Amino acid sequence: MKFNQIQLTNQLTLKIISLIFSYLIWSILSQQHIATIEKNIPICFYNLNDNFEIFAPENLNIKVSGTRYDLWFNESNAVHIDSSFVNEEKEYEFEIYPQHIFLRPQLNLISYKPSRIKINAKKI
Amino acid sequence: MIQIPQHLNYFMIFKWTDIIEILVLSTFIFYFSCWLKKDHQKKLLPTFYGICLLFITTHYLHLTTLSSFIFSFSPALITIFILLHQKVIQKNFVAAKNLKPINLQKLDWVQSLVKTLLSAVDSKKEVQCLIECKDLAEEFAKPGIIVNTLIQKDILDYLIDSSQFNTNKFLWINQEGLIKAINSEWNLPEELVLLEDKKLSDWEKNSIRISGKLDLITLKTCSITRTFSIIAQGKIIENIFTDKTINLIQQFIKKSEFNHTNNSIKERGQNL
Repeated sequence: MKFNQIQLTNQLTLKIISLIFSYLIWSILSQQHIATIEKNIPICFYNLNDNFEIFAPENLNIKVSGTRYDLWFNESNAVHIDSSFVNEEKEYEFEIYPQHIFLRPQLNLISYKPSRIKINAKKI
Repeated sequence: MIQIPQHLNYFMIFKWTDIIEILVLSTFIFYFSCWLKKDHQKKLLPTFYGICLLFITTHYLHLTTLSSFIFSFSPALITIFILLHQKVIQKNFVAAKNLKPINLQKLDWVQSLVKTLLSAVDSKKEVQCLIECKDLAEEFAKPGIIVNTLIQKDILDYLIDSSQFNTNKFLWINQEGLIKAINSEWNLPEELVLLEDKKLSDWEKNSIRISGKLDLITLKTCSITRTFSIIAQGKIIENIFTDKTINLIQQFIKKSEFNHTNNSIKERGQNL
């Protein structure tokens, strides 16, 4: 179909095309703009002793800033906690530090909560 | 703070303000597209979409220089679209057509003037007359009695017949046929008055000198021969009869108007 055969005169078509173009142009122009977002990221435990199971909050709320492009690419981030310290059945209090939160280096971590989590360890 | 649906993050939309920005931009693009669509002479809308598409494609293909070039020139491109739009062109065309046509100026008053002067000749009154063309004679003439009325035979008859009318002074008229003043006098600097040629009267000498510098005509009746003498562009034409006098005056005024209009068009052309 030739380009001029497409019904460009239709108002709805024009609206849809305008919306698509505006989104694409906006995304190109705003890629390098600095934005701040708040999001929940999962808390992951590794090096867990096989004889124990743990109960802890699943998510951590973080506030980060950076370019939209970096924020957009920052989907796979998480809190990674080495749980090798779990060796008896009790409730642990764990302090989360920024180094536990894996972020793209281009992003700035502004704040996160909670900064301290309770980990309940139970023997299987 | 109002949270937006999480899945919108996949579209790089993190806040409500982002949605507002996109909507405003799309409204602008939509109305601009609607306006471009109205041009039936040129395909401005497909061209506009083509340029948008080119900008987006060059960006995603990492053709950064080309992308920056298109982005930098986008204001100029939008201006070109606006200028090329049929409606704007039509407006310019209408504006160009609205130039004052040179032939429309009515010169009926010349006939009334010449005929009245001829009637005055019957009463042995030799009338001198200054007709301004495109230049104003304010600096070189001094009005006697200011009249400021359009030429009508009755009024002119009345003025010439009045006891106040001085035939040694002149009648001052502009090119639109407005009697500016009667009993006007020359107000010339000393060096402008020529006295070498003894055959010419002071009126003729001054008229030759002034008409050589300014765009104006002087006219004088001769009661003996019932003819007129016209001085224009520094030249004197003597002993001409009524019809030819009317023709000559009208031609001088039209030529003056034509030159002036041509100059105006040239100036406008240079300004554009």
